[in-house]
Amino acid sequence: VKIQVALILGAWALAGLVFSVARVLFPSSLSAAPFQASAAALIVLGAASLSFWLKRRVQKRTRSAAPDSAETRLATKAQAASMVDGLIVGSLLGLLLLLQPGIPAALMVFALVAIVVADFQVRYAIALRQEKRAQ
Amino acid sequence: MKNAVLDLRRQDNLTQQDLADRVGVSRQTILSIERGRFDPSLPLAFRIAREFGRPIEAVFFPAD
Repeated sequence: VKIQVALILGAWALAGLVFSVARVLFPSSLSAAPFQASAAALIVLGAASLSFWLKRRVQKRTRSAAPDSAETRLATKAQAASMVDGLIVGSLLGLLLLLQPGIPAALMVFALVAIVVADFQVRYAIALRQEKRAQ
Repeated sequence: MKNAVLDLRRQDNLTQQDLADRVGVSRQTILSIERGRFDPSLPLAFRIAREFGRPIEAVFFPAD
């Protein structure tokens, strides 16, 4: 469940990041085409929902999300490490906002969420791969 | 922590998947326990010991 929530947040952050960047780069075109932006958001969220559904099926079948499983412990470690990374990245992005006030704050927030979620996913994937390789 | 899960599982002619199904965890978890790379939680250790019909101290014991 934690992984699914992380993926949902990641998808939202990714969509927000894309739109924030697009708004900075193409301010007039986005405001003129709200339906295109909504369609893009639906595509991103639809793909994310499909991936959650598939992941949940796999987790149910393999019981990898069971509280006592090795995968759950690896995920907890990855979450703890990515939280520390998030604090560091958040501080750096805050500093960047202070130094460059022209950057939209929303862009920084979405970037932070996207970075933290990606960080967790990468850490978890590496830990799981190492665990499997060791055997 | 060391354990005798691999030996006991072989004695009982169980596959890793069989044991995983019985105690409610993934096969990867059983594999990691057998290789000594994962110390199970106390409830899981009790479930595994009960599955083999032995006291927990006969299945899991200190490394030294």
